[in-house]
Amino acid sequence: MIWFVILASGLANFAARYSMLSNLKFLKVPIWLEEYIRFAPTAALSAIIAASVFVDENGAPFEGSSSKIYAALIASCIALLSRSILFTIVGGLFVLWLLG
Amino acid sequence: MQANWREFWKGVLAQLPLQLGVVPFGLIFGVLGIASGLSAAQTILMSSIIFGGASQVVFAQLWSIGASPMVTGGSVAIINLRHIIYSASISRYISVLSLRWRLSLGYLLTDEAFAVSFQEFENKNKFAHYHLLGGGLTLWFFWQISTIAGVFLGTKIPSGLNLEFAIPLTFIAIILPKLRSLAHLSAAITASFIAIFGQHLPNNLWIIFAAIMGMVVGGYVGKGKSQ
Repeated sequence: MIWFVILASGLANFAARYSMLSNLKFLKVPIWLEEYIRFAPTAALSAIIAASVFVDENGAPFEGSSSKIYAALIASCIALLSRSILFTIVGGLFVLWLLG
Repeated sequence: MQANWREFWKGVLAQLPLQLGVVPFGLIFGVLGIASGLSAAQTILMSSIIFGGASQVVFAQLWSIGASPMVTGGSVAIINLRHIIYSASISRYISVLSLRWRLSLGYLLTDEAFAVSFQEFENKNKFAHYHLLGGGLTLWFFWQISTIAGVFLGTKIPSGLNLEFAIPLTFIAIILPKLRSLAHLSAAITASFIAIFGQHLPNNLWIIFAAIMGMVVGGYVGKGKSQ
């Protein structure tokens, strides 16, 4: 099953990249939709960040330990200052380990 | 050397500095893939089948929390929708090329490759497609190698280090610098709010719901503005 999902995801990814390069009409996306699509990464990734930082293992909001919130805050500062994925991860994990 | 291959090597060179970001990300994905319970083969082959950093990390994250295949695949697809924008902005130049070129460049069209080679297309460089091919292949090569290295590292790192928290940290590094417009900020806040309070939705549908609502709000707020 997992291989099927990997292949399907790969195909969907390729379809998005190839869409406008192809001569296939059905892969073309109307302009009005592009206005929304450019927010896709921001929306999807923010959702995952929020769920991993503010939700505990049982799905309850703002119930888990606050060390993840502090780690995310420090990591956000590092991200804005350094623009580096590596530094952001190292800094965030360091704070998380420090606070236990 | 012929002008077209000179352009190819220029693309390779232009892409090299970005590998400072790509290689650690590939290593991280390799480590995370193993930490999320994927096998070494699944983690490594995902880097050539999906070939997209953020979407592969999302895949690993959702798979590890037991999201359904539909939700996992759907989320990966939503994150990759942005490539349609890249594809659209170079389609004028590429749609005249042969099918072989279009398929190859379609496969290699990543955030970084687009960022580096887009200017060549804008400048009406006759061999801009060679530039993109060189840059795209360079990134592909480094992404595969660093994933494999990460997988071998990942099998040697003890669990219990909260390493899975590197996933949201990765996304913080990608997204935060982009939240400079009101539209992006609104999209992020809407999606986060739904993600936090929508956890009780079945099949982890919160992620799809949050992403779509974030896009709708972002698109509405940013209507008519190019940035």
